[in-house]
Amino acid sequence: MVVVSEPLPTALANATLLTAAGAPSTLAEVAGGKTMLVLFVRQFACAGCGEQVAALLPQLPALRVLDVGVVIVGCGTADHARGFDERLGVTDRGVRVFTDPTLTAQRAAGLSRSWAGVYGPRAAFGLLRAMMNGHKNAWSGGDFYQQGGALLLSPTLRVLFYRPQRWLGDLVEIGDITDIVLAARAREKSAALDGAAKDAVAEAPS
Amino acid sequence: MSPAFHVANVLFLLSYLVRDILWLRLLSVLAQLALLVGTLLTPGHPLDAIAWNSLFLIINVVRIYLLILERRPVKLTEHEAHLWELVFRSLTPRELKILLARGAFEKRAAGELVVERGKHPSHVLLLEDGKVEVVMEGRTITELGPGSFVGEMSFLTGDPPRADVRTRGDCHFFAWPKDTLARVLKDSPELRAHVQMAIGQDLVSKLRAV
Repeated sequence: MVVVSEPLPTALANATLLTAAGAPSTLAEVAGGKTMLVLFVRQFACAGCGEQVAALLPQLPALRVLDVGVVIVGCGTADHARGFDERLGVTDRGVRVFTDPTLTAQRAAGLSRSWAGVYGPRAAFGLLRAMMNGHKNAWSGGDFYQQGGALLLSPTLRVLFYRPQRWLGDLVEIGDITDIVLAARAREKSAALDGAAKDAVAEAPS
Repeated sequence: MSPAFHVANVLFLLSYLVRDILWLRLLSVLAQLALLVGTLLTPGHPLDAIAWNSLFLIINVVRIYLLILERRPVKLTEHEAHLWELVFRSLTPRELKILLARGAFEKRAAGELVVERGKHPSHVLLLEDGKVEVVMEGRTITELGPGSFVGEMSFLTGDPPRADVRTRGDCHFFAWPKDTLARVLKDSPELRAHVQMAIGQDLVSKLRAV
């Protein structure tokens, strides 16, 4: 179970992801070493996922400045992942795309797989909104009923933010994630100032 | 059929051929006016057609007005242009105007305490001109120059400030009331992304400096 401020569950850290070229690596290998936003998309062809990526793009410069890496994880084949990247051009913006066709990572992340999340009224509204915003929809980009979500991980794989999506079009507000990183950096700065103050006191002639 | 109908349809045809939305709407308005004339010239004046056409006409006129407002050239004042140069180059002049409309330029005298340790500041300040010093335990830890945010740490974390910030010489700031800034950023995801980047850049450079 994913819990904010706890370490990433082992099952999720060890889940194998495939790159668009089909190369395997675990989520821990992909995400470790720097603050990382892991954005799970429902599947690689849904309009809601396109809308979620569109909401991510304006935030990328701020995330880059704050040294936050971004990966997108879907659940189709490596070919689906490649098509998604070609369509949305995310790799060109420094975002890496992975897939887990076995849904192991999605299950370990506690992301739901539901009929209502695709056919319910909120999903219908979400789909309509996404399509009206110009996002194409197709049904063959991965598991049809899988839902997405977002995780923010510290360099030591501690969960800083977790938000599962409940239906198609239930968008994660990426600006909220940037705020969390900004607050963390502000606290780092505060601690650095404390350290500098102690040093100044220690160095002062008595 | 009245010639006005043909004129209307030619205008509609032209409106479909142009790419610019303003021209499309202008041509549509002309076409709708011609259609209205044609309808009025039709025996019996079908009221339902007139009503629908008038509704479309009103919507288009309002949208044209808004488009013209949006496209008016924006002139920045000297101070606004300075802030744009310093911090907000990623914003369009219009976006910058929207952001600055929610705050005010302020001048603070030398030696004035702009942030007090332990006391939540009411404003987020952006230093436009001058220098401030960050003071802890009675000692100056660091100095900040133009383009630095002040009071942003409390804004981001909700924690009270752990240092005093005092002006060194006369300073010019831009000041946003904290709640107002939070509301503006909540209402506009685009502005929020730009401001987050500006504050992020400032924080990272301050971290390096400390």
